Amino acid sequence: MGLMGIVFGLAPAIGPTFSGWMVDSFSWRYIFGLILPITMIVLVISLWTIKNVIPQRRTPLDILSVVESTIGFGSLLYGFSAAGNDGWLSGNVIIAILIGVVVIGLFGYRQLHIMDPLLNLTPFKARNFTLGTLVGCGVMAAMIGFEIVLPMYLQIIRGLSAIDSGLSLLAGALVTALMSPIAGMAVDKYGAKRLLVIGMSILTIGTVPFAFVTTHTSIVAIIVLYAVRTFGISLSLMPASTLAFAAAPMNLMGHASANNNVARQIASAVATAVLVSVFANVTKVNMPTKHLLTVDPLAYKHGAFDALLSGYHVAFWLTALMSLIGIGLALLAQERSVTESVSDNAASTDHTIATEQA
Amino acid sequence: MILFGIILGVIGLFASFVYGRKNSWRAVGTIVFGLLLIGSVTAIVGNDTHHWAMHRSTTRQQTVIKASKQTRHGPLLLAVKLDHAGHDKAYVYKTSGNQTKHTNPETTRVRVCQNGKANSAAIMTTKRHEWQYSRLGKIMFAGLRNNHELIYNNVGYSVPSTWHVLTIQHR
Repeated sequence: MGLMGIVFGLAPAIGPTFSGWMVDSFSWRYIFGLILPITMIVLVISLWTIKNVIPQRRTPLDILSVVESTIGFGSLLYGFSAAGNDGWLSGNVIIAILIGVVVIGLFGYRQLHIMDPLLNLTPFKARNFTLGTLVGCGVMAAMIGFEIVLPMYLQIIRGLSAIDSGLSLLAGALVTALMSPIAGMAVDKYGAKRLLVIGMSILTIGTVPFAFVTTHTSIVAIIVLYAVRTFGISLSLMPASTLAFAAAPMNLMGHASANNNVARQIASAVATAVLVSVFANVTKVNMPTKHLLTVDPLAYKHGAFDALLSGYHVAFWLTALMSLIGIGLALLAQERSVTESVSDNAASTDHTIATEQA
Repeated sequence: MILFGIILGVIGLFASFVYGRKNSWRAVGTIVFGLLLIGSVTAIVGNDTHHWAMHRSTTRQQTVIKASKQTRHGPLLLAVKLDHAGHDKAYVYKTSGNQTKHTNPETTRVRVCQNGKANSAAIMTTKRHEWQYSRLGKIMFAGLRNNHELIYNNVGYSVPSTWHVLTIQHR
């Protein structure tokens, strides 16, 4: 799991540095162009190298579930993304979010009441699976959302180039690479809860100072504080998965993995959309009038920078709040041994399946 | 020292909380390193937002300057107006090496006076107001690279009576 942590943690952490170099050296289009052949090579290699580890069985595809999940999650993400331009009170945004919530509700209801659900939600009955998934969502949201907003601050307010802003985040990526295997060994010995609590605490402590950044904050301080954040993320990201999967029944491991992945992806997408839209709205509200640009351009510039800073402050406070909630959730997790939790839940799930079939 | 405090605080907090065997030592380590981390982070924020361990200092420099332009009416000191109200002006001058330079209207307050003499040199006096670390601050915040942060510049031009100050609108 520690080695997995390097992959999951290092890849997003090194993303800003890599894309900064690509944008400055070539064009933003090359970021996608370079990923495409790598993805294709991985796809081809995986056909021979990745083996099935859990028993396979044929299940019918529930078309209505596919439609509901597409409309529900798509609409919700659209609503959150559109809020950045249209504002939270726009009819467009409210309707999209409402449709998203209602359709996801219907999707969830359907998954709990059909024989072969697209996404079996039964693993969520295990307390630690739910908590582990939620903490994982919090970490992903705090990591991905923050990595979108921080380079914006470095480039817009501090005037750094794309590659310089990316390089500022490189130390954080190296900390992730260093700490993930250490965290993996510590989880094996001391359990996931201990690491989650301290990891989320360090993440929160490392995030709060960003809510006070100014136009002249030391770049060295930003690099070090960002590394503190990634230290906390390394201690939380993979242990959150360990906590969740240790509590999931073996016979539902495939669904548990799907649930965990879907939840994390949605959390990071929604968090990014929310952070960017909150940033955009707060900035828009505080921005000086365009008239000032012609009357007193320097005063306009100062006002615009203040407006942008207040947008960043609110976005960073929200990220700190996400990790703070993560501490609370981590504290609620039960400290049980892996085998104990698996057998407990496997028994209860077998009972659930038997009931369903009856 | 603060940067060292942050690194030590993070590693110590992790090590004592995760690897601490005896509950009492674990608690002591967590509290000590937790306070060290929070204290260091607070100090960085305080230094950034309230200039903790810094004081204002002023340095004064005098330079002989040349006119931005020579005309048949006499030497000119050009002031380029950036706004309609005329609050923000950049003053253009030449150094003794004939390099054209201008003041930064964002950070500079300018005062022009004619010294009443026709043949004296034109002098530019720059008073740079900046944040500077105290002796303790230099040790505490070493490595942050934010010493000598500019607050604002006061520039005074003392030009001969033959000079003219011409304000033009920037397009």
